[in-house]
Amino acid sequence: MTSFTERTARHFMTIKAAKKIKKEIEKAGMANLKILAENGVSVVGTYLQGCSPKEKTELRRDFNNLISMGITAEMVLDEVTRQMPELAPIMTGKEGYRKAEIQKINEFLKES
Amino acid sequence: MASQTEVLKALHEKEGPIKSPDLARGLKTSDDTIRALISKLKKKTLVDGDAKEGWYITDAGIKILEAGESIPTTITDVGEDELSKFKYYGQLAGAKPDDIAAASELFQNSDMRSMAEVERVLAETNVPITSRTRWINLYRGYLRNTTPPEIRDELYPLPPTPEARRVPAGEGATGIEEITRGERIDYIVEGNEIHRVGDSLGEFTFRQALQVVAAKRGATPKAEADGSLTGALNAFAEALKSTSPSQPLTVQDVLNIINTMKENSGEASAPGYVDEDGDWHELKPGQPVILKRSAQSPSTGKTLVIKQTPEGIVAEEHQAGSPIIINANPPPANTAMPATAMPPMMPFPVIGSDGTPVVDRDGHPVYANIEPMLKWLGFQSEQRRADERHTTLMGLAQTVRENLGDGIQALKAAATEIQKTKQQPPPETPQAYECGNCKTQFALPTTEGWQTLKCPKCEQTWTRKEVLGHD
Repeated sequence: MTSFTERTARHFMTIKAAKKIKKEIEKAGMANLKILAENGVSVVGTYLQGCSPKEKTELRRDFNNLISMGITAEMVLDEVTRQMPELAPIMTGKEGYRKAEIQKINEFLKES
Repeated sequence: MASQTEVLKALHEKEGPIKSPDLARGLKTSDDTIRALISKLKKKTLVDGDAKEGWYITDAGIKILEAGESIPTTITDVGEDELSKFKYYGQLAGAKPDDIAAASELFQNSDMRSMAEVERVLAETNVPITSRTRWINLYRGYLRNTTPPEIRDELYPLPPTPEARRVPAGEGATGIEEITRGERIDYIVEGNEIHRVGDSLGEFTFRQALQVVAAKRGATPKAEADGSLTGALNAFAEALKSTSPSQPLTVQDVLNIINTMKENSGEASAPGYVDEDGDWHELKPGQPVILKRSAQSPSTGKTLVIKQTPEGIVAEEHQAGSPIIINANPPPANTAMPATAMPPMMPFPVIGSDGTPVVDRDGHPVYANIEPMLKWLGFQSEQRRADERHTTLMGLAQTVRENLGDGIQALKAAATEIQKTKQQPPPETPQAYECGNCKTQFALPTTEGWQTLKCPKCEQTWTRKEVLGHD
């Protein structure tokens, strides 16, 4: 049983993490993101894999901090989808897209 | 950090065995610290027990507590590493705790099995010589004991005893050094500096070299008439100032010198002087020393005074004894330059808006001092260059950053890849047909509306309907 404060903190951190991801991937242009999503290419996964080793380390550390707080990759991805209504229909409409995204994120976190 | 005594007291206060984590909580320290302290106390048989059942104080421990004694640090308390031994031997040598801490700090960053490093560290931390020598000897002993016997003497040789060192030459001694170091002719004198050149390769012993230098400086080191060493030491200290810092004196050197001076203090030191060639001559009793100042030979050259005259620059011979008058006034008015007090460094007349030179109240032209302006312009150009350099560097950094792989570029590249793939039409593979007669494969003609075609090999004619199945 978690306290109200913990749940609020978790919710807040999820929104913050999703906002950060959204802010980053939006730099690539919404048109490009749509193309990727329509073709079933993992947007978040592609972004994570393209980062420099230093950025990867920082992102991995941030993600692991979130996980230690009880925030899962699914929660963050759902929040990203909610914050990007332009991509939401494509991402939710494609079968297996969400699963592939989560798998990519988990693979990224397991890399050493 | 808890001490062994505190652990012992904590165990004494509790009834029954206590486990290490409970002790650590009680003493507000870590489990590891408590385990280490318990291990040491157990070796001294002051506590007993085990980690599973807990620890309790023994009768010996109670006895020490009741007597109010502190638990002594023994060799069993010391770690087996070099640094722990180094600290322990520092304590044994009687060094101050501050010195031990400072030396350990330096020592742990050096080669801990090198005696040269030990000596360097202790010298750098200014450990007093008595404890330093004891400390070095103890640590050398430890290093020797932990070194295989066959290389022990090679790596950590024992220092020669003072008796062995002081055996004089010519007595058939079997000591390590036949001549005291200070008595060897190892030194040369250059100017006012003493240089050590090596084993018997010099011209003087150190004492002789000191005397030569002192004589050159006008202060011969000699003992006072009452036989005390103060005067000699003062002279010696004075002479030491002129020695070369590149060849520092060791403690042994100083001791040798002092011993030599002590030996000579009983008898009157032989006065002497050094001639122009640097050779030492002893003065006989009663022999006067005449100091002569060599008179400077009058200069045979002539002194010339260069003057600026209306006719140009002229040089005149200066008469000895007559004053040289420096005339700061400008040349007379009949020269090209006007007679103003303006220094010749500012040849920029101020020009008015009407194009004529600006004059002062006396009618003399006004000159502008543009030096500050030149400096300001120079400063501005420096700043501009610095700004340009900064901009260039920033541009380079931006280029590097753009070319480094980042997530955004990866997304863009992936999207572009997909777009390219979509735009490319599928490769056209021309439909091949086979002749029913000769089985030769051929393509359809490119012209539209063809009705018949011939096999390229057997020239069998085929109609459009036969080939395509429709008209």
